[in-house]
Amino acid sequence: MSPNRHSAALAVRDLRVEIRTREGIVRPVDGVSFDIRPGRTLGLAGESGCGKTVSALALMRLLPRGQARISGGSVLWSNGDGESVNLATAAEQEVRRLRGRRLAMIFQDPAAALNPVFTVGEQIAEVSRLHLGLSHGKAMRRAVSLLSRVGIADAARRAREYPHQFSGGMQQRAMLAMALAGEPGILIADEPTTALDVTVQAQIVDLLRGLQSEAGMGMLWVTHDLGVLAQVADEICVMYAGRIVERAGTRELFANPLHPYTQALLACVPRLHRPAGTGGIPGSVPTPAEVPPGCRFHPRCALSRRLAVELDAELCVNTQSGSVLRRCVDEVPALRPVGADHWVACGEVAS
Amino acid sequence: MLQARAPRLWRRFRRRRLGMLSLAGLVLLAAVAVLRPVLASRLPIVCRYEGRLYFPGLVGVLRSVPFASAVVEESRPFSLPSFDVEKAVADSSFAVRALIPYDPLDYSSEVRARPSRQHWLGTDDLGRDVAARLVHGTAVSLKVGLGAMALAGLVGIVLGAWAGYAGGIVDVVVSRLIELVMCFPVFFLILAVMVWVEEPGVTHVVFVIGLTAWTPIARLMRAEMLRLRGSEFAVAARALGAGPVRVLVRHLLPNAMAPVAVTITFGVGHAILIEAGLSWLGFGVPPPAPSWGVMLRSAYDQIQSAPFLVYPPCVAIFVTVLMVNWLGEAVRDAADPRGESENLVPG
Repeated sequence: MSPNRHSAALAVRDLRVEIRTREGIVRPVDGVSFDIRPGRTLGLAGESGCGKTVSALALMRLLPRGQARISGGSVLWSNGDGESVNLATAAEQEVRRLRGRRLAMIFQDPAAALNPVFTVGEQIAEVSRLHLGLSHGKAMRRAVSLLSRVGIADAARRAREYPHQFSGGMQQRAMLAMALAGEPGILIADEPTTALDVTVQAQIVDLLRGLQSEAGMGMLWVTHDLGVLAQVADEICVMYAGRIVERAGTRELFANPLHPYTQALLACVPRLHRPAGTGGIPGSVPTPAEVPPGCRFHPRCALSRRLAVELDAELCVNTQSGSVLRRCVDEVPALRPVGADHWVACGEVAS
Repeated sequence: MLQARAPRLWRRFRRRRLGMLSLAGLVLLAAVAVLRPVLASRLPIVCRYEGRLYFPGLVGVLRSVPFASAVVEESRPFSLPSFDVEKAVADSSFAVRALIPYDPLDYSSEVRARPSRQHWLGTDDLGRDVAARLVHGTAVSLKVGLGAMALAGLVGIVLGAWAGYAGGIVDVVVSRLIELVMCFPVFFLILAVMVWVEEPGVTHVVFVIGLTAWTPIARLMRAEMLRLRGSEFAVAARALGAGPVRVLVRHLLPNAMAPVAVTITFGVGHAILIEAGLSWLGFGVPPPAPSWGVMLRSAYDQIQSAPFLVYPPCVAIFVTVLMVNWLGEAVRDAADPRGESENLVPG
């Protein structure tokens, strides 16, 4: 174990990802910045297709070769000992040394992320053998102890079983045991509870929180589920169409959402005291190939439309989706601070 | 990892009756091929001649074992008796004959004899014992079938996996190579090679079949790799720090092996049939040597006068190919852990 495992951090600055398609180059992630701090959990929220998973893969340099690439920005990993690596530009060899050892990742669908032809124990053991240089026997014993650490009963027997013999929740626990085998300082969780049913979700959330405080890992939790983030995240970044539109502490974000998109998103979360049928947000996330100019949310923005009705006609412009503020179409809003620990990318809200 | 996996594979394989039966049958065939000098030979296995024990039959077996020939020639127990064996057997006080006491190349005046006590499967047009020839032909068929497919499997798996995983220019080159080789009429290529080679033998047949039969294996392997390389567990393996070679060899290959193993076993049967066809045309193993194909060829010429000669090589080829295919299917089923439904705990 590295002495400063508890101070590993990841600073992402202006990250851009390009994907080559038949129609040309698209940018599913376009200038994203955030920090994963030691012992803290950062939530990355957004609808499907907003670029959150691509961002997570880009951090680990796992984008599919030949199709997608990091086209700009930096992903600076540092361990608190003064050692730091820019994952966006480092050699593949260097990145591979860090993967699984310093940064680990768990995936949305554990059934697909586990290799079907090896026993769970063998797969966990492989990580210890690879990174800690353990012998086969030692690695297998360690795998058993990791399995019991992630809450699997009768771990010694379970380690000899295949992934298909595990339930969904147990598969995710096994995946987590694999991720923990290298004793990473940073854990990236890409929708770790989405494929699980609600009761199992709660167990996994509790487990991850417990392990995090135990190991002091910095965590990035990618999800579309704001309800989960309310439980786990210290800070939340809301992504829309490849950009971060709002960033705030969890409490602050839920108490005082400023960006129209965040407000709309929160309005979609079902509440007990509110009648069902929230209606959702009209329209859909633009595909990366057809992002609108200016603020990417303006075609769906209720605030912009409301202001367009209230304000002078010369400040407005007619678009396909109705009359909106001219500045929403012309200006690309930057993420600006609006309070302590609260940033928002909306020209109207900030001014 | 493999050492942990092998016993489990065997445990699951053992439950498949047809697979076990085929394995037993093939082991038996292999034993027949190795022990052919003892099973079918005019030399007795043991005989006492002029007060001394001789083991002339064992000499042949020992000779086929590598490095054993040194022991054979000099020391007495296994030395070749330098006397007329037939006479010696008649004279000797004690002799244990081979099960089929004929050599595959021994001519006799008893031509086209029907199956009888003396000749279990009859004799062919030159008076050679069919049973003896069948036993000796086993070695040729197994050598060709297993040797050619081992070679084809090696080439096919390496090229196919490389092309499918690496993609890009490697994939283009390998794919075109596959198409090129597939377009060759294999049978005629072999004919050409066998004519061109000065002394055609079993080894040439093995190499030519092996170096042409790898295309379906490579194609299947490439397709499996294309499917698997984008799979989430491949990404997960990379996320945990595995390099490309490790991902390919440790994570993807084992997942692709089941269908490929089946293709290879089917190929064994096919290679045996190609050898039979070649020999049937007279281009395979040179004629006096016994091979199932050679036997079938000569039997075909006399199908009117001695129809019973056709059955032994036909049945031998059929049964062998069938067993190899059954074995392949059983291995495939045993290799797939999802086929194991026991211990499944829901929830």
